[in-house]
Amino acid sequence: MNEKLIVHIALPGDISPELHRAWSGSGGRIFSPSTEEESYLKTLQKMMSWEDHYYDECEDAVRQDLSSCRLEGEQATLISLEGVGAHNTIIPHHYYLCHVDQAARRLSRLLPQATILITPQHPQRLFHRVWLNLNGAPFTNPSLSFKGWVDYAIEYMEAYSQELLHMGNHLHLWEAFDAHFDRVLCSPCEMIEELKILPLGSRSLAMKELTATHPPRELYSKKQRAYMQDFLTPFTLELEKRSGVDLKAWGYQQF
Amino acid sequence: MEDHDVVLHVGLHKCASTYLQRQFFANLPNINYIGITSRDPNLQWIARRVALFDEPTYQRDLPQLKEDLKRHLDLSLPTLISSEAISGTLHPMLFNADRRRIAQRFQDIFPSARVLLIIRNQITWHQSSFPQLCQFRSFNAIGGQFQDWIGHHIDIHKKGLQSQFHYTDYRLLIEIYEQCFRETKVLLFEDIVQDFQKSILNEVIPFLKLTKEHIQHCGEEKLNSRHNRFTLHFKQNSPKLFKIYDAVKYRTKLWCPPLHRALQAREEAEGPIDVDYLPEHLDFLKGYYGPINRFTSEHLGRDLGEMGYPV
Repeated sequence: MNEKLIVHIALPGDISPELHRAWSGSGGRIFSPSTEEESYLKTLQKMMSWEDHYYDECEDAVRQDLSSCRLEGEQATLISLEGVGAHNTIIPHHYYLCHVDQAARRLSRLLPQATILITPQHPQRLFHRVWLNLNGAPFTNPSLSFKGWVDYAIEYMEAYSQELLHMGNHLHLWEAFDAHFDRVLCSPCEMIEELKILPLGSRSLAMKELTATHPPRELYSKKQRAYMQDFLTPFTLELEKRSGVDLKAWGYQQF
Repeated sequence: MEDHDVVLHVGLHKCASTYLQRQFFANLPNINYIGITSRDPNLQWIARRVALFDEPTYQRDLPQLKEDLKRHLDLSLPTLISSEAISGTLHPMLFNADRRRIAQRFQDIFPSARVLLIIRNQITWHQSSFPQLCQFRSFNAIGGQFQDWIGHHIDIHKKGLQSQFHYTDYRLLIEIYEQCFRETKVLLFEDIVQDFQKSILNEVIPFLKLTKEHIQHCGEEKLNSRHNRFTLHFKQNSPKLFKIYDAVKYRTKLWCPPLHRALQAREEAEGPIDVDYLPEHLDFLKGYYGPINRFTSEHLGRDLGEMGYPV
């Protein structure tokens, strides 16, 4: 198995295009929705669409499709996988996407030697991108404002606990993959954009003292900002501790 | 909990679950009732804590969940658990665990449970689900009409992804529950609608191991057909399903008033929701559900085709 194989767990509206360009520019091979090898990626994404009792029956077929991707070569290869980190939030009520822990378990069976790359985003930026994506998706309400949508998310959070806002809980994503893979890289989108570097090499990249470009702060109401801060800060602090990445330097604790 | 007498009501959405929960289960005496309409607030969210979380979150909560059950259940009384979430049906805002995993979780906590599963003709199930979906603020009720919605799901299905249709594969649902529990009783929504009293008295009450005497003081009011608004209005209004919600006061669910307002706003702006199928949609549904329903008919010893199910 190719030890230079990286699976990027893409989040909505993150740095995927920049990452793909940089990767291709440096001579790496890439599987993403934008490449001609799309069919393989689609196979991989189908893997995320089924409940376990269906998926287990088709895993051999997925494995066979992947084997024709010739992933075992020496060339550095990036697979960009969308939907995993986002649960079924972007296109709710459309089709099933498995939970993150299921996706991690399935991927570890298929690509056990892969390095996982997680690219967190500042929660305000993330939710704003999600909201923008939602507005473009079929059957979603275009008249729902960002603040209205966040209110909606908070309301459901209160009622059901594990809902939309959990997407901003990058610790959850980290833990799911860290439980199954030897190498999980954590590089905030903001860092990749700012430093124009690829997250290769060490488990977490050395950070420079930089003033991050923070997302616009006026998007949330005061009450929403306080709620987000209370909910997400403990997860962010714990992720900093586990991954060794200084998220604070990128404004992750400023809501 | 090993020998505790438990009945798990697996109510799919749109299979009279809310009606049963509000009008019947919540009023039963001498029973621990776990459900959204439970009078004991400590028991309202239990089923959702089992069904709605991914595995790591569920495992973290499990010790506390068991502790809460120990503290709030009277083990000298039987327990009834009722929630649409148990069915694991795809819901606009919920991240259900896999259906088999939900059943296994309940089996782990209540190994001696018996299951009451209520199914419904898939043709009307989708028709009834759509207006419910329109209550959600994130759903584009204006542009997305029912026919587009069904067409969209047929596309998803053809792309090889798990779609809405899989959730009403009763063959799989029955298999899951029969594998996990010692007894699974399947009731048809159509029978309940046809004669609510008969279904309750002849099917549900004996399954709960209750007698007519047990429920007499709550039964007079709730089971008298003069007050059985659900049955009467359903007959009057079918197939205009949207109006059923008025008839059963569906929108008065106490736990989601904002959705109530959203549906009201839509009703005022657009009027009733059209839930007619295109002929090709019906062909697809017959093709997809036919083998499933024929198998289920044979398994249940009941001709589902006679009840309007696509076979």
